[in-house]
Amino acid sequence: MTPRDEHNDEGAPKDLGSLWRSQELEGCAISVEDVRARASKLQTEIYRRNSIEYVAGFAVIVIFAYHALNAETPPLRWGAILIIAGVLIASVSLFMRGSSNRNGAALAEDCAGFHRASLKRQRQMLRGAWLWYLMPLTPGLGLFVWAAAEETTEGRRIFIYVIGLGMFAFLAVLGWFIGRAAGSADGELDQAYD
Amino acid sequence: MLRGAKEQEAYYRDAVAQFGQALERLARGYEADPDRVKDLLQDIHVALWRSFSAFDQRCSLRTWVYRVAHNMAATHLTREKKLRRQNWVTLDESLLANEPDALVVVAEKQSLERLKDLIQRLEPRDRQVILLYLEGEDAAGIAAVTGLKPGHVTTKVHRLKTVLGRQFHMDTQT
Repeated sequence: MTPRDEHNDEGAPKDLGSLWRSQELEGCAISVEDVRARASKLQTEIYRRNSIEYVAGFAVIVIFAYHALNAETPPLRWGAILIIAGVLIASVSLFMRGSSNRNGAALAEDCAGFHRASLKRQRQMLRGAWLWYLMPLTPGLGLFVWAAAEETTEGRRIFIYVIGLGMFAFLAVLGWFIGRAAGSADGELDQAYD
Repeated sequence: MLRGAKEQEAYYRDAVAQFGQALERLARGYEADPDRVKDLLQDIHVALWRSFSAFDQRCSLRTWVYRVAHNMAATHLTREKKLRRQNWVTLDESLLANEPDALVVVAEKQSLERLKDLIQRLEPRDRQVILLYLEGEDAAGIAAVTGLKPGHVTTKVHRLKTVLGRQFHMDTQT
């Protein structure tokens, strides 16, 4: 069939569906064994990424557990304990909220539902980030910085307070950016498959 | 409900036998780069394999396969868009577009390439409709995969036919 035969008198292809379905294909050179291996590798990668965050949390807990055990004053000890509690709360939140949207059943939702669910999950993660990940650390961090500053000399005290203020400013800016991203996800959700 | 490994493999082999070619055409509709088409197609096959561990017959095998494939491909597209800063158009914007230079270039290509060019400019939800339409799905089938209301699908298919007819008619006049 020549290109001309494909067209009607007005120059438009007679049947675009046939044209589309008749295109030459290369074939997917992947065996069932390869697919199985790739699926397994993907699962391992997901576990690895999640593990990094839990390992980082564990490292923070170990460091502040050392400080809690060796602290010379109660405020310093309680500051370290509150930081440990904050990290545990953040880790549990991460575990409960984080889930791959590529699990089998989720992918088989209709496209509109899948897209909305992805955006909702993204928005939920972002909106909750300040409350569930940053806020739990704030009381312990504040108490620890104050206690550390009070125990030291005048000159170093100011330095510690400046460091502490810098950390809180960083958390505030981070929270602001996360809030903006959540707003952006809101906008996308409103437009999704209307 | 999780399927055993044998059932999972049986569903996957069945799906590939029936829809393997359609999946490759779908991948080509979402990705212009030939190397990336292969990667995307393999990702779709892996996603399909994984999905069949949870196949609960909530829909036909055909609808399940198309949903998984389009969802994977749309995720790929969204990720690539953020990386490459692409701008998509909707079917409505295609209707209003007036790009004589682009049409002159497009007119020089074969019909299939013209069709691919048009498809690859569309945003995901319109791309899903056009690709399913080209695979011979009716409005009900398209609605089952995309989650759009049947009336909405009918409207989009009508616009799609207008866009395609106008695009190819104008191309052949240049």
